[in-house]
Amino acid sequence: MEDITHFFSNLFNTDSWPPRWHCGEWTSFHGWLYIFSDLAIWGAYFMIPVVLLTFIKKKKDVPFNNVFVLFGAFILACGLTHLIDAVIFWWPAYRLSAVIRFITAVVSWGTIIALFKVIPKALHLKTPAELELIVNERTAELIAKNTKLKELHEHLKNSYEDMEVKIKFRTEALEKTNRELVEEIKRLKG
Amino acid sequence: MKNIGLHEITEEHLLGEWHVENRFNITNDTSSIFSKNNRLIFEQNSYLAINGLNVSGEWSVSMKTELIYNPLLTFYVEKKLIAEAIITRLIISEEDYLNKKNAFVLTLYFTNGLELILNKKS
Repeated sequence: MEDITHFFSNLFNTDSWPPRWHCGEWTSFHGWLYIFSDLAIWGAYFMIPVVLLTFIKKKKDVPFNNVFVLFGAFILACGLTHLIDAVIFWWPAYRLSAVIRFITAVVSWGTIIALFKVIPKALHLKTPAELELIVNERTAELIAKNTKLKELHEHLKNSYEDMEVKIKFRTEALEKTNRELVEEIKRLKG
Repeated sequence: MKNIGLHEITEEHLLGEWHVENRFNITNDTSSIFSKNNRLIFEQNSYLAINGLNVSGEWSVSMKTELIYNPLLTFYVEKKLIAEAIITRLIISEEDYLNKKNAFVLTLYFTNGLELILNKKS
């Protein structure tokens, strides 16, 4: 417990270690290659979460966006370990480095657990090709239904027109018969 | 399937042997030969309705009145008018595209309420 208290109360204390440049025998090329690479990795690891967050912000319907956020935090933490590794060449903050590494480990495992939880659900997500297939099938179904409806409409319209004609035709025939009967009655009455 | 326009129907369309496909007799009037026949043969100026006992006579087709645009069929036996019917529909369907055989469906509606649906293969 004493160790822990000492550790955190001296988080930024660098007295116990020399800067990395003075630890071992570094050639200028080797040291700067190390530093440049670490800084480049940190830069890239810093940009990836920015791009991811911008993507989530712009495309609001992204499923499982919490995983994206965790993934962003994981990459950001990984980047910080590289940044501190480069800084240690001048400022040997090994305690701070250990804390950053610990945070990175926690975030990494958190991301893994989240991924395990999400994967079964993600497997059920439709791919664009599957979605297109579904859309095409539904479109074909709708076209077929529409065609049937048009045929039915045409059939009903024809039936209605037929009915009208039939009524007129029979009415005319009945009127004719009626006229003939009236004529016959008149003729019989003399 | 294509509806032949009522004004396009000619005597040529009607000539030939028609089979009764369906019959709707709402009045249950069975006195007419057309309430019983199973075939109807149209020839130039004469027809033959077949139902065991054959009935033959003359027929003509004309446009009815200004109110009804359907062609009117009139059937006579020995110069006596026995029935009048309008053509409510004449449908052509290409049954066999390779042999170009057409099937026709003719719907007749009689003054007594009888409806006959006939078919003919060319």
